[in-house]
Amino acid sequence: MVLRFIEGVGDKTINIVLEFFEALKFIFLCITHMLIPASYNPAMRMVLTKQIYFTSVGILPLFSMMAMFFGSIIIGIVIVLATEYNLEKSIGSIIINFVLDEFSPFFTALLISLRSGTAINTEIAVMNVNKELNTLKQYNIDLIDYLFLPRIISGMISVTSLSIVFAIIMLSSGYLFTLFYMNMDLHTYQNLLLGAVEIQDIVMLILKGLAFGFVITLIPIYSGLKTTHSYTAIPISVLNGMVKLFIAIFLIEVLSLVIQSI
Amino acid sequence: MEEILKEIEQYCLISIDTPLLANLNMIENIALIPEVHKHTSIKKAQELAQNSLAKIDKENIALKRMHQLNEVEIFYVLIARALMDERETIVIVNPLSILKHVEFLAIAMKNLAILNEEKNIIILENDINRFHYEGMWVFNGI
Repeated sequence: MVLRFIEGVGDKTINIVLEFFEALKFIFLCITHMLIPASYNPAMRMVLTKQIYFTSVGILPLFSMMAMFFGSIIIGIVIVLATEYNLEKSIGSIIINFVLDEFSPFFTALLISLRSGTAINTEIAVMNVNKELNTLKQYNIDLIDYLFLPRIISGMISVTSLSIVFAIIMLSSGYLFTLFYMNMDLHTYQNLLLGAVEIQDIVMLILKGLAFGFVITLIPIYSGLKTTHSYTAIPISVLNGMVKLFIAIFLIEVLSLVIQSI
Repeated sequence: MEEILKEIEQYCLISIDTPLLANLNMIENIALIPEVHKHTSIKKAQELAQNSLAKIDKENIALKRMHQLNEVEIFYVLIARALMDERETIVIVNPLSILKHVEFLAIAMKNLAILNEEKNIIILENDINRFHYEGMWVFNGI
């Protein structure tokens, strides 16, 4: 009984370690292919263009509305709290830190995960079950170059650029609140923000966008690839992929907080 | 048969296990091969694909997706795609599993001769389906 338990634990540990190294190998392969110019063939570039369109252009109207809505509300809350705690002098840096370093990349990552992460996971899983991945292998078409790389690069570009758009809209709509609540004119608001923004805030926004974009596409792709050859495995694959993705997003968020606190 | 299966990677396969890509139209499916293998521009690769469909008067299916086509049309696109591959020999595995009906096979075979000019084509079929072919040859007076 005890021996069986130990065997079970050992077996599970070995499997987890093997899976971890397999995932690392996959990440390494994707990054390597990203750096090889030969990966960027005409078909890949076409898929990349389409992916960027679907991921970042298609979502723009809804995204802008949400940024405006959440922007004015959340900046309003931040300003009210800062006023309550007599932090009016630091309002600029509080808003900049909150919007650029935390909220914009995180909210964009969540939105793109829900929209594109699930779509990518399902698409790869369906292609796997329908043996379309087998077709690509049979015709010597590299899966990483043709299927995965465009999605990963598009994710990185889209999340980063949408985070910047989100931050700009959020800061702009935040002005409405300062205008009505604090009677602050546009010039003062502009100076407040420009005086508070530092280069590391912009670097953090870009780095977080790139990191989020990478995991938002890579984890669903990997999860889709692991789907067994049956249609009933597709929802399980999406479910597992999304759970892992949200864990990864929170890990990146925690890691960025640790880096900022150093 | 066994020798062929051992060296299967040398051959370009057409089978139920190498379906068309559902998120591409027929032109894109055919053009994908030269775009990736020879880095042919998308415009030129799609022209090649269009010409290939024009040879068998099937230009009308160029922009259609897989679910909009019948079995014979899918078979033609599978062949046109395989002809874009650089490998010299094409192996069609169990054509009846793709075409479903034996009468389609006779039509497909005639157009296969029009499409293919220089490649070797090997057809592998289960022995159990032999009677379908015998019937087909008799039916078509071949």
